[in-house]
Amino acid sequence: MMPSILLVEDEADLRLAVSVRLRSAGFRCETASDGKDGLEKVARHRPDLVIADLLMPVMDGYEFIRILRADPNTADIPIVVLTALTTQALASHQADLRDVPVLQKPFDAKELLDTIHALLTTGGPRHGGPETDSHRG
Amino acid sequence: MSKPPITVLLVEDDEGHLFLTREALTQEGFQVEVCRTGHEALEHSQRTDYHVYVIDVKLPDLTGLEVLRRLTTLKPGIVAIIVSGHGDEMAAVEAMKAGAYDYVVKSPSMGHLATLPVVIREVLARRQLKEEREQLQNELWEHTRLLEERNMELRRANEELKRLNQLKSDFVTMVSHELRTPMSTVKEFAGIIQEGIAGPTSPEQRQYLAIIQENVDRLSRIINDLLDMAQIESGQLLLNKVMVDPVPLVQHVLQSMRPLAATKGLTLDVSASTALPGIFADEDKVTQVLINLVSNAIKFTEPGGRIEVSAFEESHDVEFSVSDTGIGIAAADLPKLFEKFQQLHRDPRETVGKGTGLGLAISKRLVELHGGRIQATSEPGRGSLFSFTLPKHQPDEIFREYLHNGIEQAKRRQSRFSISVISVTNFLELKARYGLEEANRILRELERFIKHTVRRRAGDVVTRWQRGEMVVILAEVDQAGSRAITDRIGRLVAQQTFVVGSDAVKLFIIAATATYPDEAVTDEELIKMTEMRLHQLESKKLRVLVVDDEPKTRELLRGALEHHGYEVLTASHGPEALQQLKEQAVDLILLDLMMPVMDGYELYHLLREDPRTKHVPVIIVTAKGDRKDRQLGLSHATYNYVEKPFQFEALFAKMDQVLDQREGAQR
Repeated sequence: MMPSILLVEDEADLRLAVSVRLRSAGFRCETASDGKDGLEKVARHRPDLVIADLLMPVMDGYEFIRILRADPNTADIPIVVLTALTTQALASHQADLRDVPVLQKPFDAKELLDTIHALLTTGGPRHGGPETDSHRG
Repeated sequence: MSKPPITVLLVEDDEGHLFLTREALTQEGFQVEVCRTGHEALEHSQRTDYHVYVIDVKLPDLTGLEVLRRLTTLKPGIVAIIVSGHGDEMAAVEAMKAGAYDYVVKSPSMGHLATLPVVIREVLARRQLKEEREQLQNELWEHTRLLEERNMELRRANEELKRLNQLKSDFVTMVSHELRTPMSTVKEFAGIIQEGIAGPTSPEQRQYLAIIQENVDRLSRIINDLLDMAQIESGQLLLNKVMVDPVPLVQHVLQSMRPLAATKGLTLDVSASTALPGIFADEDKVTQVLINLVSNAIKFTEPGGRIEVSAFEESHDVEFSVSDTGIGIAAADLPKLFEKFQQLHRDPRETVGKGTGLGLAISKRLVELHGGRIQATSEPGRGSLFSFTLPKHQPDEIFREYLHNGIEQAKRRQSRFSISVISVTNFLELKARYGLEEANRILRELERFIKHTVRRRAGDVVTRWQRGEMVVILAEVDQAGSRAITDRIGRLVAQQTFVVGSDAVKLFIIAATATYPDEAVTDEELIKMTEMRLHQLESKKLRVLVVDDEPKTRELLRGALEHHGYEVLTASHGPEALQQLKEQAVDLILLDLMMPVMDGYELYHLLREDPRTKHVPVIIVTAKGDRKDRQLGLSHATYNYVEKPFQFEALFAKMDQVLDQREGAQR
């Protein structure tokens, strides 16, 4: 079956643009307008991958990602962040976005699709606390 | 001009004394008024102020002391002199305590009448000095208060400036954020239509849609440039400096620019020393500068031309340069090149302003933020050469920079920042034995080992600091985390063996950590904190007394023990050992049994009887067959012993075991 993607984005126009793009690339695409809506959609149907904006009303992307990661049932869903924030602004949230690829708006459609394909092939984030993820040798 | 007379209120009930005193004072030029009772005096002073009050101790209604107390309550700061009867000095002392300025004792010969005017003048002089001093003090306080006020104002102004800067930066960030989202929508839909996802399109339509997308990209580059500039100018740009290897960095830039050069038919070459020293820099920013210079070169070079990127080591820095065979820059334009919003008409055929005119200005500031210089030379029609330098750093400077950056970032992110200082305690010994070069090589190996041991995350760094010391910088790690990491390093290093020639060498380390902002808020404080802790650890070294009559054995043991991080005392016989123990406490005693003067057994029992040494663990070092414990009827369990010739491993294992037991017992 085609992989399903949940797109969480508060801008309706951009939501439409990205979902058209994803469907044309062969994905099933569900959308949500903020983090809270996103969590409800995830609870109803667990997607294979999540694309999330960061600055959103009701519940922002950081909180949304934090909750997804904290729940063992959803912790391993791969996430891609699409944001209009600057790298400097993102730096203060470095720790929250560990293991999450971040694409800056305006993004390149090809780059987005490549990132999605790569994540779907390798699977979700690797687990392990800070003590165990060191690379030896 | 004559001064107004000094007014005196004389409180005295004895008519004779009153008369004589008034006479004496009036003659000296004082203006005297008289009261015969305490109440009268109090009443008078309600109405009039006097310079001086001369009060007799004994009055018919109140005591002189009581009058003085009431007067000082009534008029704080008055000048009063108490006149006491002969032999009533106690009353005078009481009066001084109650606030009198001085006292005079009546003498039967009336001699005190001559001293009274002197005392009055002296007291008034003292009073004046006191007032002047108080005034100075008050002025000083006033000045201090004003200074503090100014300081507060400055602080407020500073806060305000910071707030405005933040506002400006927030504004730029917000605007850029608001622009980027609609730009994404435009770009996405243009792409969707162009790629035929929404239905068939004509070639002409597809061409126009591609132009829309290109222009969105251009807009986004402009926004990036403006953001960069805003951040640099508001002082908000923090360099994230790490050790960077320049060669891969240049290769990476070339790789990403090659397609663009190829489409324009340009050769893109690199020429760099293979072995360049690492530079301490923000990798992204240096890449940004190089990409800017290379893309400029591509833009202004005709097809068939050549662009060369090079990197070389100079005496104080590493120099990067980008040369092209392009159209060049007129000499008159060179000085304006790095200014903001400069769009030079370099090529009449080129459309003006494909960018913001900020690229070189940003590059210049980024290079300067690194402490480097950027410059350009050109020959119109032949080509241009842009070069910039980045300074080489001493390890100590790098360490300080790491600290400073780490704290700044933690401040901004409101997160934690820890350092862990690791000191190799046997570094000096290694240096003495193998030479400085080898000792440093072992340290480099340790550095690598620690790098693999600690969690590697952005911002975590291992750097050498002082001789035999190494620092691990742990970004966003709290106290508990940094202690856990430090302990782990200690455990793993203890298990590790390093090789020097044919020797296997152990490194003994002590490590201390400190965390921002829990334990220290400046880099200096962080260092002080770790140094203090290292010092404590150093002084906590366990002290061992070796008692053996054989000099060779003593020295052998001393070497091995010191190598293991113990502090070692030696004694060649029992009495000397006892003398040593009188002078200082030890944690463990290694005792030979067969010794002249006093044998080990005797010494052992003396130690056990002395309350000061009763609890110090003793390990008996005995030659095989020497053991007399059974003969002496002592239980085997009483002793910890190691048999000679011993293996050091066995000795250290025994020592650890004994010391562990001791620590367990203490808890």
